[in-house]
Amino acid sequence: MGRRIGWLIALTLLTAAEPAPKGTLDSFADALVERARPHLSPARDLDVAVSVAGPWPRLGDDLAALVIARLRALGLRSVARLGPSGVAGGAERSGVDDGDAAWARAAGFERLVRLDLDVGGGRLRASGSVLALTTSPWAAPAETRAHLYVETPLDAELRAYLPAVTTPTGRWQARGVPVGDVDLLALDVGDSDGDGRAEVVGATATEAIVWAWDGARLTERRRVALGGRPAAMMPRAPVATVVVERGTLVAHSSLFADGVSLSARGRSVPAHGYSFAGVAASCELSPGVDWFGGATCTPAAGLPERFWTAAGLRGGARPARAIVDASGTLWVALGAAAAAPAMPLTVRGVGAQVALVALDRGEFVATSEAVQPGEPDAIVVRALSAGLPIAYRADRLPGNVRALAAGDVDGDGKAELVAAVRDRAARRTELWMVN
Amino acid sequence: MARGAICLLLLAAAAHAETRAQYGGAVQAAVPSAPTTFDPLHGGPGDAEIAALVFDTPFVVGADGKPRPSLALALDNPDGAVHARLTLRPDVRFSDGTPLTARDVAASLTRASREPGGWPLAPVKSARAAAAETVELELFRPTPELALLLTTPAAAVTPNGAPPGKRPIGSGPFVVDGADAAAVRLSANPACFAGRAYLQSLALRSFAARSDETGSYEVGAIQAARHTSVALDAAGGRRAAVLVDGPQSITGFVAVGRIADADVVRRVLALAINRERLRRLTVREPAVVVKAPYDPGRAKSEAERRWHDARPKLSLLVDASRLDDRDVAERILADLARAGIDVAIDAVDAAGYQARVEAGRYELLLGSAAPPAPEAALGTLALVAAVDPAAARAALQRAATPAVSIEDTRVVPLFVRAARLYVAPELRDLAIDGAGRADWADAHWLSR
Repeated sequence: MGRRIGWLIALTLLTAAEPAPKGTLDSFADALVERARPHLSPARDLDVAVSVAGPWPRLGDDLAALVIARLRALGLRSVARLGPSGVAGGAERSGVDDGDAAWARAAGFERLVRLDLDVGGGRLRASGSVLALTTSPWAAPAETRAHLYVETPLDAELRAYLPAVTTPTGRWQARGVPVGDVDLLALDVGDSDGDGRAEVVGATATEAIVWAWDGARLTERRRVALGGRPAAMMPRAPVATVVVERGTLVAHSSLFADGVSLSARGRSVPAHGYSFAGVAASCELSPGVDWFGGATCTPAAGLPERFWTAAGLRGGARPARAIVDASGTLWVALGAAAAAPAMPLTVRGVGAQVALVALDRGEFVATSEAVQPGEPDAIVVRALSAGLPIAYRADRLPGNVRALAAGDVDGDGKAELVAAVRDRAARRTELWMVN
Repeated sequence: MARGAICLLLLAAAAHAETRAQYGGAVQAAVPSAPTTFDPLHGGPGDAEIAALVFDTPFVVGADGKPRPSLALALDNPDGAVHARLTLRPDVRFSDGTPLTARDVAASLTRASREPGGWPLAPVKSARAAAAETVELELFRPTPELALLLTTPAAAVTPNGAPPGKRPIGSGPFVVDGADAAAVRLSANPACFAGRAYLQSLALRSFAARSDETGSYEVGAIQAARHTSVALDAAGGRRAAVLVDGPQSITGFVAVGRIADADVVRRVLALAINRERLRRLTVREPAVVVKAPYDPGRAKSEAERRWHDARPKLSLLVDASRLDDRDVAERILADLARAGIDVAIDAVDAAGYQARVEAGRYELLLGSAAPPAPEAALGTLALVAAVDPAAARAALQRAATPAVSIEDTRVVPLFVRAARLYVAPELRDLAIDGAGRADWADAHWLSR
């Protein structure tokens, strides 16, 4: 009996000593850290930031937590996660940024482990890099020390992180309407003349142009010259914004110090700053470059330090905001906390244009995206749900997407996406309507 | 700003690519000739490229080939008038933070009216600052093409119109960080009114030999090469390159100095040089030969009639840093030897070459000239100005399209070629203008 009890105790001890089987995400994190480890030495002297981007917030959070725990176990001086708006360890970011590397550098980190998550071919893939950050004036601000790549088959554990297929059903259609040789830089859709019907409003570097749908095509209604005092400094390629809100058209081009605010009655007054559709803030361009500064926005709108464009959802069931920052990353904030998002959804590598649209089959964010250098752009429409699944993609456009907007162009009570597509020879522009 | 957008850009024709250009990064590239000065009124093609990056002009040539305002906001130039008024953009600053005012513009135009290199502004009699942002110009003749002339390097604006020193101050997209005999280091001017250049730093340098330049490109030490080996031309290099060509506007020429029997020498030169073979064997860029009779027999008899059995001995001045010119000189030497003239190549450094050209101290000169603005008459005058700026100035002072015959000058045109750059494929939106200058302000690395 005593011998049997002894065996049982020994067996229990052995069972307790055996490690629990590792989860797939655990192993995935192990593999990533194993690849990064040779480039994180001397460990005790390094402060390391971790940035994980991908369209599945919970997966990103859990993977970041696992990677951070393993990096801490290596004896690094400190490890912290770089949040979606550059906030590390809860500290407020300061100074100008150049993507997460600049944020991490400004926060005093010496290394940045940057990971992008995506899924393809039934596998979860993480690709990224280990960046060495320095503030030395003689060295490059961020030097890539290693490229990281790990993939693993999707199993039940990983699939639980991914959303069910929520791509809304329904047939998408896209059609182009020529509007001539106008070098559009910005678009919006709204009632600019008080007749109760929306018009398409575009801005070039020197003009704002209003088109109305006549049942078959867009006819030009009026042109408003953007003029006045020249801008003291401007970006090398012109930038413009145009917004129609409550019957007032506000357009601003980087050639001029001030924009133009034009009421439905035709009264024109100078407008300060640049406005964005659905975003109740006016921002300034940073001097000499093509991005807007979040700190310049009035009222403060929680926008990043450097962003190309921003848009808010009009007529949707819930507030939503999309921003493309100056590194080409799309940030989408959903819900009531859009002004101060806890965890926006992100997609890296998008183009400079964005629009949000509420259709009868759901809410969507559209971006311009480069296909190949020298090739025409695509319009990519993603559903506003976890994972930002791609709902529609318009390839084979006749040129580059210069501007995006949303609104009820044809007066049928339903909104459309509108894209200004300029041909590669820069001779003509078509407005593509997608719904 | 599309500086010198007379360019014919074969690569990446769209200024607005699929996404926005990224700021930052560094480039090292070759220049067409070794840097000798930052003065826009002096120097060779390499100096002209650098000066165009550092200084601004009142107008620039737009994508349509027409002048459009740059430092200027407007030009009031009534038909038939001999007065014009230039209104300047407010709030422009030099890279040292000092304001760029009408006084700087007037002083710069005044200096150009006195210097040989300022010949494209020949119709301008005087320039005066009438207000902080207004310059009044007095003209020798009604000048409908004045805006175009104000795009030329002669109209580049320096502080107080002074010749630039070793650390030039301009308002252009780049500032000079340092220079030596072979290279100039530049960085983006964050205060450039026309927009910050995309590249953060740019090093432009010349090479002692074609093999050095090709090798530097192939190992990645430079990202844009001007003079390359046949292997790279044939796309057989170890590193991929894309070609960026400017328009065919650069005329290669031989000029006769102020020597005895200059007329006879010019005639022999014109008849003896096989331009087609010269182009085929020495010019890699797109080029056409200048139409002229090739008659080596007649050239030889002309030489024998004048010098009988005595073979005249002449030297051909060549800028050693213009690597293509050395090959051209070798061919000319062979052609002239057959015609009975012995030529020795006198290859000197770029600074020595410029000094001797400006002083007229040469027997034969190998050079190139490009129109300072996209206008055919200016192209012809540029050839004249290469050996006699005063004659070019006098002709342009008389008429917008003066009747100038190259046959009446000491210049023998050989071929008209394009400037060509071999560029790393990841470097985008680099353009070359009609003067062969690369516009680095809009160049950028491919988006990550």
